[in-house]
Amino acid sequence: MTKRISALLEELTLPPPELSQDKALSCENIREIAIKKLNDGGEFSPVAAPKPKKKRLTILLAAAIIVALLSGTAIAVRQALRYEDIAETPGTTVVAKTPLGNVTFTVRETIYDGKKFEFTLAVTPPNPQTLLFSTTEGDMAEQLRMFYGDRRVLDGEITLAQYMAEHGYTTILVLGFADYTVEPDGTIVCAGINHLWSGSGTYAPGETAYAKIDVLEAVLGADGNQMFGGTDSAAYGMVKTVTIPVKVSGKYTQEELITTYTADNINHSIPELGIRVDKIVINSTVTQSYGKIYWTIADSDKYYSVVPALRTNAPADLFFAAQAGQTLPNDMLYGSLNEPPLPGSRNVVLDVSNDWYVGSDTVFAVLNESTPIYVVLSIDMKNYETFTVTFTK
Amino acid sequence: MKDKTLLARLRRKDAAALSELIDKYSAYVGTVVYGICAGKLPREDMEELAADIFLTLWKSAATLRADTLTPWLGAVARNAAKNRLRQQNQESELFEDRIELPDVSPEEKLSAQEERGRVLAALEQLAPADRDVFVRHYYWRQTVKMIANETGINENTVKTRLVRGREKLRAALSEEEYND
Repeated sequence: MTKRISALLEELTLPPPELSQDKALSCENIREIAIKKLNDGGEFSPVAAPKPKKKRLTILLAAAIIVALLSGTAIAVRQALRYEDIAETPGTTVVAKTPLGNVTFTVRETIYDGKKFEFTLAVTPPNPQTLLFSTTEGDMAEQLRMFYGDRRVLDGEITLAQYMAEHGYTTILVLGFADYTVEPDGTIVCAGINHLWSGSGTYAPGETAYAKIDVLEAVLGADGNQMFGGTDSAAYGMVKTVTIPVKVSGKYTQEELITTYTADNINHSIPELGIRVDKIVINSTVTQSYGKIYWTIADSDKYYSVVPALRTNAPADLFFAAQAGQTLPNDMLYGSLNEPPLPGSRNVVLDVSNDWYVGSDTVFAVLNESTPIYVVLSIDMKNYETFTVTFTK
Repeated sequence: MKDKTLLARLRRKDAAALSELIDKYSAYVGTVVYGICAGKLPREDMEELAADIFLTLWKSAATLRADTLTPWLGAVARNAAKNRLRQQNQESELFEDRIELPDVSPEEKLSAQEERGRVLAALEQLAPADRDVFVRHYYWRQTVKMIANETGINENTVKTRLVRGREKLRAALSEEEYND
């Protein structure tokens, strides 16, 4: 039996070889060509393209996330970690026993707005020699293996292996989540944890929710090989799942936290769709903003002729910008249509997500100024409308 | 900003999001394209190819759902680069691409996942320098000459390392290391 080596490797996802700076293709040239082609093709957004912002990534872990790779089939060995010492929430502490020592997960904060439940966790490494690292869920071992020698993880300056050597880290504990901040002592505080929903998707006060975090322990060899615990190769890292119980506090209710902003008398016609946008309402809680857009069918023939396309095209989006070409701070006010606009509907509920726990406050600040808000209503890929409204509290 | 967020903005035809994605991923996409096309396409063509990959992302945003774009961009870039070379009849000739494996019964045949695991394991067992050369050639399709230029070793050494990698892979897939 004969096999082609190139075909055997074809299905793998491997990082490209390192490229020296002098050989790298020009980011500016790539952008220029792409934008020129878009303009030539008439597909460029009417919201204009602001001057691109250069973002230099300087934080190790944040940079690692940017290049988080591979989310394919996990071939890691999974085990359930035991936990102990469950306290009331917040302040719940779960100590996960690992061969590297005890890793402490502490619930910092919980927020429940009646629809969405979120909490933050602080994660403390077992010892100063262990670096906390984060990847997306999936094949964490493979991701880490790729990060290890990848210079881009640290903004092109240094590889993870070099960083560890310079700072005296000998082991890595990889956590499977993407949103976090790093505190000066190395504690990771993560939000938006992948949690296990209750059957109904909502929680009653006093009910216990469970956070689920995948943890991978890695012990580094001097040359970066055999990085992972036990006798397994890099591809067979030991991924374990930590389950953290979090009690839903009764004091948070949707009613207490909601603030409503309304923009009415909009009276904006969209002839291509046969509708007129009348009103937009935003209900903001500490975790999320829920938007609702009301429109009237002004031209039935037109509207019903495009409805089939609306149903099958990409979900409609509603997007607010502080001014043309700029999103609101933290990029928080936009969302996708939950359901297709069925014939006869006069309003559409939009789930206007934002980044929780910083998002809403910033939204409030912007909206409270009563400044005009630029609305971008994207019904489908070809129908894209912009207009300005002013919300009042 | 998270890829998911940028992707959602792309779906709204937000050109600024495309620009941010180019900032974020041009080095990665450029590396993939360069790795496959260097020495065969002029630099301008490689940059245009990289730009086309971002345009593909722009056009695919409506249906693409991903938390991180790296795997998607990597796969698209790799395929696009290979297709471009194929169109120009500039595909790399691979050095002894075939390996002979013992015939097995249908019951003994490895599943795709098992085979993938063994290939990965074989790669892991190679010394880093051997693995680098092996992957450059059989995965990124760099010629022996280009690998020699890029890594500063002579062509015979490249071939020696390829042979070592082939032998390791053959052993891994021949059950030799799994029947002990």
